[in-house]
Amino acid sequence: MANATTEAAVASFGGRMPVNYNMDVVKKFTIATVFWGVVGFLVGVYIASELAWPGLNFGLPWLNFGRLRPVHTSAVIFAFGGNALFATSLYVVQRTCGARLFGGRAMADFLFWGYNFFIVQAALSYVLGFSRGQEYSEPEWHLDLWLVVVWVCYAVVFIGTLLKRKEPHIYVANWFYLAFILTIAVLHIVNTMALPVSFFEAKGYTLYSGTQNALIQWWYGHNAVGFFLTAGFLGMMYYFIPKAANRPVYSYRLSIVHFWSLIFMYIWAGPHHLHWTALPDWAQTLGMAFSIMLWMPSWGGMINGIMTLSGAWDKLRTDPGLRFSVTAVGFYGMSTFEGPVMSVRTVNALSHYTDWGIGHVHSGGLGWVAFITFGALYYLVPVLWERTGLYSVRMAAWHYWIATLGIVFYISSMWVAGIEEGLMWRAYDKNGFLQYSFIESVMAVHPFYVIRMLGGVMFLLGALLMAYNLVMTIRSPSTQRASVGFGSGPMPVAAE
Amino acid sequence: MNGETASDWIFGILMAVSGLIGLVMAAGARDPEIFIFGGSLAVFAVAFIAGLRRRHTAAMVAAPVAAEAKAHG
Repeated sequence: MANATTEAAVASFGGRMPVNYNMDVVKKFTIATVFWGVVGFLVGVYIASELAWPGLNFGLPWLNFGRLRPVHTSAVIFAFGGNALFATSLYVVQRTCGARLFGGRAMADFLFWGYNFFIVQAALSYVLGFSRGQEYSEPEWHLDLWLVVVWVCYAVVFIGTLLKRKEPHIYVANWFYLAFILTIAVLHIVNTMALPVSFFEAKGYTLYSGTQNALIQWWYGHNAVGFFLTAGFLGMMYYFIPKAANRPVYSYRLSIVHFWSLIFMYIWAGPHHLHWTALPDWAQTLGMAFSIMLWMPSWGGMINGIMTLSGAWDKLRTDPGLRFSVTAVGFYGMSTFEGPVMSVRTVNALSHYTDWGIGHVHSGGLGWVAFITFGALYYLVPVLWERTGLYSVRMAAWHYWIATLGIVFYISSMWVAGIEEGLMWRAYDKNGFLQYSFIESVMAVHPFYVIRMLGGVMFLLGALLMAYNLVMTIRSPSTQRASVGFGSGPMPVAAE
Repeated sequence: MNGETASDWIFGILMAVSGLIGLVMAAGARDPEIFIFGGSLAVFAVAFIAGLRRRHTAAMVAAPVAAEAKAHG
C-alpha cells in the first residue's frame, strides 16, 4: 500500500521523488521582514521629526539623532532588507534547484536566530553609544565576528543547496544571490578588520588609518549598496516578476550580460564618495568613470525587468504586488541614473554633504529595495501559507498609492532642500566672504524637513496596512484552501 | 548518523561553545556593551540548545507511532 502511494507520487512528478522543502525557515524570515520593516520605518519617521524639531530628543542620550540614525539605517537595510534577502534567496534556491536546503534544520534555524540576534544586539549597542563611527559598518568587533559566523553558515547553506540541485541549470536569480552572499562576506571581513582594546571591552581600532581607511570604508560602503541593496534584490526581481506575471524573463541572455557587467563594474565605483578629499585625483576619477559606466548594466537590467511584462501588462490593473515590483524597477532605473550623475565631480561639488544625497538614497531604498520586497511579500505570503490569495487586494492597492505618494513627497523635498543647501554653502558676497552661515541654510530647508517627515509617515502607514493585510491573509478563513503541501506541488523548474 | 542529526550536533556544540564564551565575556566585562552582549549570547545559546532538545524529544516520541502506523499499512 505504502509502496503504491510512493510510486504514484513519483510518477506524478515526472519520475522523481517529491521534494520536502524547508519552508519553515522561509516563513520565519518573511515574518521578520515585515516586523523589521515597520520598526525601521517608525524609527526613520522619529529621527526625521527630530531633524525638524530637535527638542524631540528630550535631552536623553539614547534618543539622540546620532545614536538613533544607525538604528534606522541598520533596521531598514540589514534587518528589513537582510531578512527579505534571506527569505527570498532560501525560497528561490530551493524551488529552482528542486532540492531541500543543505545543512539540516538546525543550520537553517541558526541562520534565522543568529542573524536576528545580531540585529538586536547591534541596535542595542548603538543606543548605548557604542559605534565604530563608519557608515553602514557601525558594529564593534564582537558583533562583526558573530556576523561572520552567521554569514559563513549562510554561504554554506546556499552553495550546498546549489551543489545538490536536481536541475542541470543554475537559474540567473541564484547567480545574483550568490554574488551578494560572497561579496558581502569579503567586504565585511576586510572593512571591519580591527584590533580590540581588550577581550572584555567593546572598543576596537581599525587596522587602517587616514585616507586608506576612508577608501576601504567607501569601497565597502558603495558595494554594500551594490551587492546587498542591488545584486540581492535583482535576484528577487528575476524570480518574482516572471512568477507574478507568469511570463519568462524578457531576455535570458541580457540577464547574464547584466550580471557579469554589473558585478565587474560596481566594485570600482566606491571612490566617488570621496570626491574633493585627500584621496588622490586618479582614484577619484577612476570611481567616477566606473560609476558612469555602471549606467549601462543598470539600465540593461531595468529594461529586462520591465519588458518581462510584455504580453502581461494588463495584470498591473489587478495585481498590486506586481505593480509594486514593476514600479520598483522604474525607481531602480531612476536612482541608477541619478547616482552616476551625482558621481561626476563637478555635480558632486554641489550635491555632496547636502540632503540631495539623502533623497537619492531614499529613492533607491524606498522606491527600489522596499517596493521590490513588498511585491515579493504579496506574492510569497499566500504561497507559503497555502492560501487562495491576499486577504484584501484593495488594501494592497491602497498601500501602493500611499507609499508611492510618500516617496514622491520624500525625494522631491530632499532634492529641493539639497540643491538649496549646496547653492547657499557655495555663495560668496562681493567681498569674498561666505554669504550665508550654516544655521541660515538649516532654517531655509526646515519646511522641506517637515514635508520629508510627512512622506515618511505615509510610507509607514502603507507598511502598517501591508502588515495587517498579510496577517489576515494567513489567519482569515476567507483565504483558506485545501492544503496540498510543498512536496506535492508541481516540480519547480528554472523560469527560463 | 544522518544529515539532520549531524547538523543538530554541530550546531549544538557551536552554541555550547558560544554560550561559554558569552559567559566569560559577561563575567569579565569592563563596559555595559560587552556585559549585555556576553550575557545575551549565553541566554541565546541555552535557548537554542533547548529548542534542539525539544525537537529531538518530539521526534523520539513520534517515531514509534509512525512505525506502528506503517506496520499496519
